[in-house]
Amino acid sequence: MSDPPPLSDAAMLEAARALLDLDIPPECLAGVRANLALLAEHARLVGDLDD
Amino acid sequence: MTETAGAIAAAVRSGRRTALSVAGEAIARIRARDGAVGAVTRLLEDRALAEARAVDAIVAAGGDAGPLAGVPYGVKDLFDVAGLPTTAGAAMRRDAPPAGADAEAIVRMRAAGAVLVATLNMDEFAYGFATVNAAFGTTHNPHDLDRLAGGSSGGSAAAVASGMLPLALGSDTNGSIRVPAALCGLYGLKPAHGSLPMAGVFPFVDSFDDIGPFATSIADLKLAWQVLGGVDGSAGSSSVRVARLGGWFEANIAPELRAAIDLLDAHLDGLPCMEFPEVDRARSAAFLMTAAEGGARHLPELRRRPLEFDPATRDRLMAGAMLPAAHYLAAQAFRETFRAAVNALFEQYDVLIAPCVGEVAPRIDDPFVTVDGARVPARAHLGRLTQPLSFIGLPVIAAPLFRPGQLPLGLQLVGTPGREGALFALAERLEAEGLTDFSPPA
Repeated sequence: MSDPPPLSDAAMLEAARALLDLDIPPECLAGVRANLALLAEHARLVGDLDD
Repeated sequence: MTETAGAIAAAVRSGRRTALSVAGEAIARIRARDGAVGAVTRLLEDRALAEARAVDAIVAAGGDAGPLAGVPYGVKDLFDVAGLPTTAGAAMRRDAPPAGADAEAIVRMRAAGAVLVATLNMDEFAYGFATVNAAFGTTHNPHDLDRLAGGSSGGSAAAVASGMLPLALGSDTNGSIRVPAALCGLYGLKPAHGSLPMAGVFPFVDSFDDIGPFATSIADLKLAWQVLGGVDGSAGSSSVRVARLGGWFEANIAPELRAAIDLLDAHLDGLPCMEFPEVDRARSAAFLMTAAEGGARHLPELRRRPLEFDPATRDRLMAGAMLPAAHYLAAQAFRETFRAAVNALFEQYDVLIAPCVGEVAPRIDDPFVTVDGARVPARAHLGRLTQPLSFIGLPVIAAPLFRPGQLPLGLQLVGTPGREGALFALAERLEAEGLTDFSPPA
């Protein structure tokens, strides 16, 4: 799995709103971004369903 | 000297002591000590005294008050206690509707004569290994008040290690019993997944959540486990086949911990060293499933009142809610591969020995641990050695190395479901031979 491009704040907010009906408050953006990056690292290690 | 649950119950059952006096002493100890420790969130004095009087009435009438007669204990703040809101360590749940009934675990403890004295601190919604809680405060390690007690069941561990209570119940999803047990120098049990009752326990990650006891002796741990519903498929200690877990489990541990395990290895006449395959992948898969299930569970409140969450858990839960299902499913699929590989090892061995946490408790003002030469946050990484084991539901006893006068370090004795008798047999042997035991704080 190749590294995905980094998600912009706008894209992250839009995805959360569109898919989850979740409004991420501005004070959470940096933390959510950091945690998504961490989850992406773990996901790369686990690999995908074809492994 | 900390009085064991077994000794208290024997004294109460024989009429040498009353449960009421024992409960009164526990309440007095909490009042005297908890200001510095911060383990207790609610002191249940009226309830404790009523339960103690009921035990004394049974004894006075010549009845059997049970194997935990008069033993005071506390529960992590995610067990339902009738008449009280179950906070799960969250400020937003302080005003939740009161529980209509006790959790099943509390029902069983009460039926065995135990006396509920307190609810105990935790990381918010059990998401953390620190017990640093924005609403309910930080729980301090009784062995050094400047250090973390571990989490998320840190209040349960600190209440027992400080001598306030002889027993406490906690929950373990990724290490939340084993980590605080190791850092506070206690025995703790993470049972086989699904083997102890979860009714009335506020959930975190259904795939891994379990409850279990903390104690200062292996006899007390076993007694509490049996009361809670544990079934002993007994095996004599001479027949227990033991190996040592290497690789990932010994790659990032303090030299003093490695030396202690070497000593134990030699004492047991040299143990074969085994490795689980792909432990790093297992840990990552556990991390993903935890984030996804936790995020999904809390999504309604994240939508409604995100700023009422503890900042330490909020952003992790939001990110978890956003994890694509494909990653969750990949993690779940890998779990079955990993489980099959580990099960194959248990055809050769009954118990595997591994460290529990790689170093002593981090300082509260410097909450980091070292992994591969980098300093990483303790809140997320203290469970790196525990997480791959609960990921596949194995029963594990956390056992404290006997190190009087030093900060605690602990082992994991890892078993397989249905052979818990072998786990307890080995733990009993290690304690009897002076290798593991609780050492009270200096």
